Amino acid sequence: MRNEIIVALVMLGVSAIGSIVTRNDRKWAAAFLLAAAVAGSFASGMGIRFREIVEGPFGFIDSALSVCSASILMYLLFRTGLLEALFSRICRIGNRTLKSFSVLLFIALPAMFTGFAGLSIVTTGAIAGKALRKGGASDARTAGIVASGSLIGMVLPPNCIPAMIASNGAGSVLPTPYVGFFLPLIVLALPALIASAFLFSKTIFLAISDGCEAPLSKPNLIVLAAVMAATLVEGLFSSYVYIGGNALAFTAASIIVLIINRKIWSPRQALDEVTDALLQCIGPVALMLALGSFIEVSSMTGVRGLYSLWILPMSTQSVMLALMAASLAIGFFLGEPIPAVLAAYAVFPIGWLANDVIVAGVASALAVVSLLSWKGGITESVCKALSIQGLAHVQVLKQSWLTAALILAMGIVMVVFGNSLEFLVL
Amino acid sequence: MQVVYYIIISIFSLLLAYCMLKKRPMKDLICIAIMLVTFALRALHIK
Repeated sequence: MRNEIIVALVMLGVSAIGSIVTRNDRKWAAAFLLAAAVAGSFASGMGIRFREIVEGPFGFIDSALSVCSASILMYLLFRTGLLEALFSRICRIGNRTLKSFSVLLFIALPAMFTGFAGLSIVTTGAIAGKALRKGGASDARTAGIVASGSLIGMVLPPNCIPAMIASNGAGSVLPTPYVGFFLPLIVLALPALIASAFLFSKTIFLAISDGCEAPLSKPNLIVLAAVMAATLVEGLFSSYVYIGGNALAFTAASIIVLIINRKIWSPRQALDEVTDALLQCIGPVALMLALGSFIEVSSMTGVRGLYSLWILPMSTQSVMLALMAASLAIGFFLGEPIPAVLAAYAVFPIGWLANDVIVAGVASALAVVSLLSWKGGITESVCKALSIQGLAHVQVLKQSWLTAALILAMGIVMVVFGNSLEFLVL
Repeated sequence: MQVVYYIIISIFSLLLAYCMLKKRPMKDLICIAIMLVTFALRALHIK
């Protein structure tokens, strides 16, 4: 057997064992991916190559910075009570469809900014979930709505961790991989958002009614609106206007929020809030960075080269679709780590051929895995956040399968017809 | 951009110390350490 195959088996084996032993715990996944990178380096006879192990995550660092700063901003806004106040305004909407759209977008909001579902689940998801249960919605339906909203939020721009991971494959030949994804990600999530809004409209309209009044802080709202405007300008007009990037906008907005609310929090409490916010995102961000090490070591040891040699004669789209299918199958049992590797590998050796539309399409499989995963995925987080006990994973999937299926279907369309849809990349 | 890196690094250092004092689970500490080391080394690379 070739050395590269042995190294690949060792690396994937360590990661798989980690997923099994920790029952897909995301925070342990980062540690095991890093351990897999070190094991791969050892298996190839190179010892611990500190340079490659640390240099690999640099490909994700700008994206990670954006995720961290967005987490701080959204968590601070949540703690000021702005999100509850916004929800109380949404409760007053009289139109059934509009209310459903608004509630789903409300749940999606923190995940849109941060790129992972977790923050939506513990903030807006908890607010909406509580109201839904209070209004008589079943536990399964409530969990399904929160799971769908968070999944849609994770896929929507400006930040989307699955797309950041997949774009790292293309990043090996491009200097700034996660750029130009704004419209492709909207196209990827829009059908699922529309369908979910119609699917859940009756439950949302009947369960969520008036009576959840909360005061709205205008300065905080203005900060949120300004940040949304800045990300919109950054996403749509980045070719013409430079505003310093999303990370800078999120950080500046966080500092403004801290200044505006200086009477609520003492400096010590403000620091506590910021550190709490970062604790929310350490799992997904550490996973991204550890994945960077894994990918770099696989390049260093020749695994990537051998893989490229195997797949280059094949059709680009077939390789991507096959790896997407493998991601779903493996992801169901072992969670996100190995599907994340496959998502990067799907675009890896053919990165220069894959535009952002195709990369976003590949990322759809990784996004769906976070819902599909039988342990440690969105379902488990939703049940924990809403204190729902005894709800089977299948029951939540029955409620949210349409959202996942539509995101995946759009992903497949974008992979197959990506070259014709290149105009979406601004 | 460099300022943002240093703000994040400072917060992560405090977070790591805080979590160690509070005896947070080892998995949390590992995640924070991975992020801290990567951000710190990246910040040193910025010319």
